[in-house]
Amino acid sequence: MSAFNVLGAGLYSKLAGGTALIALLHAGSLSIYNTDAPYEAIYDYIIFNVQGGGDTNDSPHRVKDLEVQVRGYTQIGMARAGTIDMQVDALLHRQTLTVSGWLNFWLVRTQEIQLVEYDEANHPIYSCGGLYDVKIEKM
Amino acid sequence: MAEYAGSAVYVQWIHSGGTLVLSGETRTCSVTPTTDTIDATAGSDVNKVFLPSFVEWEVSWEGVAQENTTVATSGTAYAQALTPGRQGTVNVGPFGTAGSALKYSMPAFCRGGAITMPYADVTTVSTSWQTSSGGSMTVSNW
Repeated sequence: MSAFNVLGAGLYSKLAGGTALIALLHAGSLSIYNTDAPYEAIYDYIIFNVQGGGDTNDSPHRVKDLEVQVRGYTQIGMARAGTIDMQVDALLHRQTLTVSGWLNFWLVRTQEIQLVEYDEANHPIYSCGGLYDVKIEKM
Repeated sequence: MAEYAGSAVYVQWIHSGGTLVLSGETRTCSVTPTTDTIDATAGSDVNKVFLPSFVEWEVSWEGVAQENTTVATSGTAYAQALTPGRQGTVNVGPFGTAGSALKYSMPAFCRGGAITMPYADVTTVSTSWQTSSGGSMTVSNW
């Protein structure tokens, strides 16, 4: 199975297992989206996606070194976005994902993301999150 | 004519405790001869004159450490196989072990296995072997 798919499943499972995190989201674990949120999805929610990286190709072992972006989105305010991000950070930084067929041996936060966008009605959408370095080895 | 990558390499260490095949964990391997020289410059020589003298060969290797597996660099066997001074034979096939492929082979002693544990990267193992007891490198085919 595609590493994208199993990594996505692992990330979703890890985030959805965070009781404190899903309590902040509009529809709990249903407000965690891979790559994009559906049209008119209700805030607050999280989007994660693979942002870059790839195979290391530095030994016979199949190892992927990936950058994963995880961001929380809200219309309440930046402080709320930061609170969501704090819960994501607690679930991911120096933790381990369960990735079917792969071993996750490294997962750390590497960069911070904070920005405000505006929707068609000029309402601010606050987002806060980070990039995570995920290293997985094919088992 | 075809180029080939270092991923084709075969590395084998045959020692008194068994045989360790390190190819599956290899990141880099090198075979390096060095030659001492004798300075024979004399008289009216305008340029320095050297004669080749004693030769030594060194094979060095670096790869990734593993755990909870049965590969060569997991558990304790490899650490014991790479103890400093351990005698044996090291074989290297830059293009694998196909019948016509180049084979380097020499009686050698291990100079010891080193393990490096960077905080944010995989743990690696490295070692080298040096020609032992006046032996020399044999260059042949598999």
